[in-house]
Amino acid sequence: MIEKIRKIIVLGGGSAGWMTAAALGKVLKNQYCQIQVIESEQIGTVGVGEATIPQIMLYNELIGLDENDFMRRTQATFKLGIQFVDWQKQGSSYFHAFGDVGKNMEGLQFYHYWLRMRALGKAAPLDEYTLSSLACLEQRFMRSMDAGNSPLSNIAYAFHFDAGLFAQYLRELAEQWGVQRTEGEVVEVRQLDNGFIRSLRLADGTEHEADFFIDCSGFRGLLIEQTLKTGYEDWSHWLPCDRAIAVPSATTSEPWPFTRATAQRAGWQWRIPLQHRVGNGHVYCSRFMSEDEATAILLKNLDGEALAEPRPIRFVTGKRKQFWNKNCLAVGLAGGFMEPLESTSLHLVQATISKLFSFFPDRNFAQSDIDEFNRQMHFDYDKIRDFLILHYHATERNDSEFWNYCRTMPVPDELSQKIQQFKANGRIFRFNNEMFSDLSWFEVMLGQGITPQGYHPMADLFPEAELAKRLEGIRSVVRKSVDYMPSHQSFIDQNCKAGKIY
Amino acid sequence: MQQPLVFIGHGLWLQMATAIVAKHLQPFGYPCIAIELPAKAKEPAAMAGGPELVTLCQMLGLPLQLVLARAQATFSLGSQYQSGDSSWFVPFGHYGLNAAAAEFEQAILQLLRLDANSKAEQFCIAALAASQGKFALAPANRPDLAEALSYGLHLQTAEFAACLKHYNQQLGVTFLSSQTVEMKYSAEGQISTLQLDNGTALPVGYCLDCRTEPAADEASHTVQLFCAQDTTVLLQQPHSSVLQTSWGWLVRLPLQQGSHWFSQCTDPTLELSHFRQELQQLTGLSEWQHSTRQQPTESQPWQLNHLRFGQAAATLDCPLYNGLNALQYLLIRWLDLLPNQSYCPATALMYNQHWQQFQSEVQDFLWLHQHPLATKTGQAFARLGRVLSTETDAIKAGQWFGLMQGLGLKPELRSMLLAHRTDTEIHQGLRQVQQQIARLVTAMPSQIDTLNRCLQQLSH
Ligand SMILES: Cc1cc2nc3c(=O)[nH]c(=O)nc-3n(C[C@H](O)[C@H](O)[C@H](O)COP(=O)(O)OP(=O)(O)OC[C@H]3O[C@@H](n4cnc5c(N)ncnc54)[C@H](O)[C@@H]3O)c2cc1C
Repeated sequence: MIEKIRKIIVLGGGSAGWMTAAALGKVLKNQYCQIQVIESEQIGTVGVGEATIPQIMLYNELIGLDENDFMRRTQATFKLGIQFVDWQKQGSSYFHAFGDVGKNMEGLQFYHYWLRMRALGKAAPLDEYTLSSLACLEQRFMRSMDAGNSPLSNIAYAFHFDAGLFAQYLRELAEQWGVQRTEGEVVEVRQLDNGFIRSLRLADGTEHEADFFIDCSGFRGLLIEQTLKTGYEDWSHWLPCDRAIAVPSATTSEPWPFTRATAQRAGWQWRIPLQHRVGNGHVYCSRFMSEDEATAILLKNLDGEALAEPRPIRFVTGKRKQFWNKNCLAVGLAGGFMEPLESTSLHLVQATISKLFSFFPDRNFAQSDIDEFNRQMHFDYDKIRDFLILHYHATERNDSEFWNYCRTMPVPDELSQKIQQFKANGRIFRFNNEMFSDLSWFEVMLGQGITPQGYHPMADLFPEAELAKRLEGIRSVVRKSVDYMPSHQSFIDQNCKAGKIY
Repeated sequence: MQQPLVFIGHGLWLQMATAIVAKHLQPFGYPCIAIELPAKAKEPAAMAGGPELVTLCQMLGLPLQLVLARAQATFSLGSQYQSGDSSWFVPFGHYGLNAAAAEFEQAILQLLRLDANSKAEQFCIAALAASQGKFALAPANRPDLAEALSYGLHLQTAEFAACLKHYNQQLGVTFLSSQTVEMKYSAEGQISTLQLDNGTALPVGYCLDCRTEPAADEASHTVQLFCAQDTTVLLQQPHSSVLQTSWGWLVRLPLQQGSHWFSQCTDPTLELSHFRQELQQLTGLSEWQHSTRQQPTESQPWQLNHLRFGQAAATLDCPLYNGLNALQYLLIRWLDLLPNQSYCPATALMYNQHWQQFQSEVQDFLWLHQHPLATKTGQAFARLGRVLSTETDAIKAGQWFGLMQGLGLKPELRSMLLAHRTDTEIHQGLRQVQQQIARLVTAMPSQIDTLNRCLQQLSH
């Protein structure tokens, strides 16, 4: 017998809480069941998490977001990729750009042809065949247009936005769709005899019952961990950074259409350009660096003046042993955390929401559904983890203890197999549902200095002169396409300029 | 000069493996040598290949018309299942007009729940066309229809093998035959040479082993096979037929001049007379051939330079799933990886892991036929009406959905993503799609017409 869920409580009003509540509100329209968000302004949110990846579009579509309105309201800019500076070695730099690299020919990925010509010393840098990279370098942007075979028909992009404004924007939408908001701090969690959560009691004495609880309470995992003792799988031996310092700074130039991640002595620094400011942060490992030193490095490397006091954040990289336990689902930081090197956290929030709709429970909470849900979530987390470890491990840096540790640490078997395989022959093995495509793996492995000894033999099928001509053709099409694109700033000015805040 | 690629085995599998690899690697100077060994068991007279087979013929440059003519082939849009009074279709293509349409299958399930007279087949171009004996090759400018009308082929095995052998000979493959083959290994455990019965010792770069039989010390189980042939021509059926029996399933493959029946049983306790009686009742045929074979149960296909693809594919081979599809997957995947001969253990390891995933997805699909609710896939469908995401393309999305809804799994829960639509809205949306599908199918030619046109093109 189906026992319909009557009420869902989302605990937490950070990005995860409001993304979940808005999606539930939009889809269920408050007709199916009641949806309540409980958040505490006093506790506040983590307040970072401002760079995304193109999969965010799926979420935006789900809730029917008007993109220009959303950009104006969140002071957003566009993002075409990430620039990694000093990762392979000091002075090195590469782009992990969204979208296509070159053009596949005869069913074979472009990069095999490029590898062949590179081995002959006859290929231009990869960026010159990649629309997004070149557009990043020249700070240009536009949305896809109908242009036949041109790379302009297929521009993959994401956003940088102000996390606080994003949560506020989603809150307004969610409330319009019938989600109820309650301000207050949860001080007690009441459980049924079978361990399921029954209700949350707030500091003002009110008690709130529900059938299903979504824990978006951030790192503390008030329901999933503090109450249900689900357990946490610690990955700090692979992803050793455990602290961040975040600080906004004044804008000094037109916003770049990319995030920059600059490797530092014991971690790395992010730079996320928004319309009204730049978001900065230094992610580091406390075993190898003190907070004072990390703060000094961050402040020294700001482009403009700091607009607030630097804010320290602590974390442990890893994931919950179960994301869904009994009648509680952990979303966002409550479910796990991997550092924002590839801007994957908000994507994981969205992936969790999308799976929730596929596995939407009734009050029986079938364990088989929950098990499958957890299996899929573990798959997502584990694959992303390996991709992030790659950035640290595949490096030539030997200028600090931190990098010596990362370079020599044992990594998960699957990752070391992927690396060996790429080294041997330039091939990339992946399963259908892995989030990062073979192109992403290619760009990062190459950027980190892993040089494949071979390439696909089919790349030899074109005579060298013919291939050189084709590569040149692709390069010139990319060049012309980028020339056609307006500057990032003027695209924003024309389409989604936000009002002044600072 | 590259190291030679030596293929061993017999029949269609040997020819297929040789054709795929030789076509791709001969241009790089790899000598290809095929050693034909005697068959331990007779190959089935007919086979059904999925859409992969059609893609493969295109890749090889083998004209479809030629295959149709030589191998008495017919088209297959999927399988028509019959179990007691209920019947359903399992298509290769997708349901609806657009493969990516969100929650379309969920909408169908919602309709089926409310309206006992509706059938999922009304919303599937392939199923509707199959039921009306229609078949068309999608025009080049309609990739959407090509997907919805994904098709495979029913073929005469020996004739198709002969066609491929001719192809291989033209490619310059050297054919040798031997009663036995003995492998000699290097100190590192690689096969260094293959010794034939006439004393020839062939040096080996890679040995592509298409033999299906497990060695005596390897895990296997005994299966009993039944097959029969009848002369009824079923050109109005562009599909395979699958009937439920008391021990499993009976499959009928229609060719241009008659059809072939196959069934398999793994239960050693059942009496032969029992099989024969039931088979006769179901088909009216009394001439059933019976044989037994040892089916391997597991394998690590890539072991140094020994590629045991035949045995790996044979773990899945049965009337409901032709092992040739798996063999193709193994070969294409291997070709995609074949390094410039730099040997990398990680490659073989990852390859075998991917193979295990493929194998487990096919096994899951087969297991669903016997015990739908004993599989995770079946359980998830029965709760949520969803097909669990798969990591390989072994079984198409339409096949999973078609089979599970056909087996009578009815989801307990409704799609939340459709929660804000009323039943009337869902019905109206579905009816529109149904009408468009019906119109498309009305305009399609019959399989007979399509077949005749293709065969005429060849004679011109
Ligand atoms: C340094 C850093 C940088 C990051 N950068 C990126 C990035 O670039 N891209 C990206 O995708 N992600 C990034 N992330 C991750 C991203 O910030 C988070 O995934 C996202 O903000 C979601 O956070 P959250 O909502 O889970 O938690 P929080 O923002 O911490 O929200 C927790 C909520 O729970 C409430 N709460 C907690 N306890 C109680 C209680 N007892 N009673 C009532 N309410 C309570 C709080 O008030 C708050 O509303 C980054 C994270 C960190 C730490």
